Amino acid sequence: MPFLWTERGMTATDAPRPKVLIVDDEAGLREMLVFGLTDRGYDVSVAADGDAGISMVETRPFDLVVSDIMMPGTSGVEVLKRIKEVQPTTEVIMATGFATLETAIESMKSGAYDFIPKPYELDQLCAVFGRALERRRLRAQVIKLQELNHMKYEFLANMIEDLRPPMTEIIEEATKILDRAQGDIVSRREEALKRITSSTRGLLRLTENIQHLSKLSTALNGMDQPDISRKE
Amino acid sequence: MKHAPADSLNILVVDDEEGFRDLLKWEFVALGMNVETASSGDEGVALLTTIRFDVVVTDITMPRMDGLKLLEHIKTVSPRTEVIVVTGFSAVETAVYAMSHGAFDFILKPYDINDLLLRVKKAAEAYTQCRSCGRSAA
Repeated sequence: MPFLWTERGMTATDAPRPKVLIVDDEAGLREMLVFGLTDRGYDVSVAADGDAGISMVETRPFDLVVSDIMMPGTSGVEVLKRIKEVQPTTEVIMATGFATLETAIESMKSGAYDFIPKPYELDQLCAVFGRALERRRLRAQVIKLQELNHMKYEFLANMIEDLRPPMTEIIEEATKILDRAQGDIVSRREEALKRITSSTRGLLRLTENIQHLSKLSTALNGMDQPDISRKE
Repeated sequence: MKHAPADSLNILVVDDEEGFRDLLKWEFVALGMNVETASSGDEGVALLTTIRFDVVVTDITMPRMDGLKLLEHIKTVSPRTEVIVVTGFSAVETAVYAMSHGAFDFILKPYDINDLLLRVKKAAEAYTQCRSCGRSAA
């Protein structure tokens, strides 16, 4: 049954079809993939060589690219590097019949999602696509959460900036009155002012703690986040 | 590019071959790095609980816990630690597996020691950059 990939995962609804680009100089393979992948719910485009592939990624967005490595002219690794420059979140799967350790490592270092040996089955490619789309979804989710987190702490920082001056002023004014700077005060009023001063100092301490927490969270945000590069 | 001072770098070498461990330790210490060694993945795991390593150089084939399992463990408990996987067996699938599970590099034995040292320095730079890059590191 054809499936489509949405923000929530696989579904057979009318969600936008994942955009796939096939870069391969084998016409037969391109045709087979167009037929097979379209049938499985993908929006498929093809390029017969590396240069054509680069032109396509420079002009429109793709979710996934599967590129042959050994092609006349521009190689698949060069295509991969250009894709990662213009569309860094596009997942690229490298395919080749002559895999060498060096090209495999170079491809992975250059940001390839996976490396699939030729000849491959459509099911095999679709399984890799499924995982690559899931990683894309998780990455997008992480970026959204980080942005939300950043906004939250920015809001807290601004709020604290606004709250501190009036609280400091309350404490200062109350202290002046308690010091009898403006004349004598009745004992009932003195007790109330002491309570106001103490509560406001407590609030000030709370804002300082929130500020420390905010700084700590911002620092931790850039450290030791779960690695989503792993496939399982 | 900002270079971390060599004496501030903590390196872990994990290899069941004593000769490789000793050679690497000697080379890294000569560069002023702090070096720990382990003869298996689980010994490496134990060291990771007490020391924060900048770079781990690990062999793959080892008794009990192998280098790929160790790589996965490191990327779970200390994702910023860079891992260089070293092996005597050339297999594209293994290299792709290691790289897609977060290895910084994959090197075949026998290796040129200067080449390995260069890659360790690059990995240490990547670690230092990550440590100071804050939110943009994600």
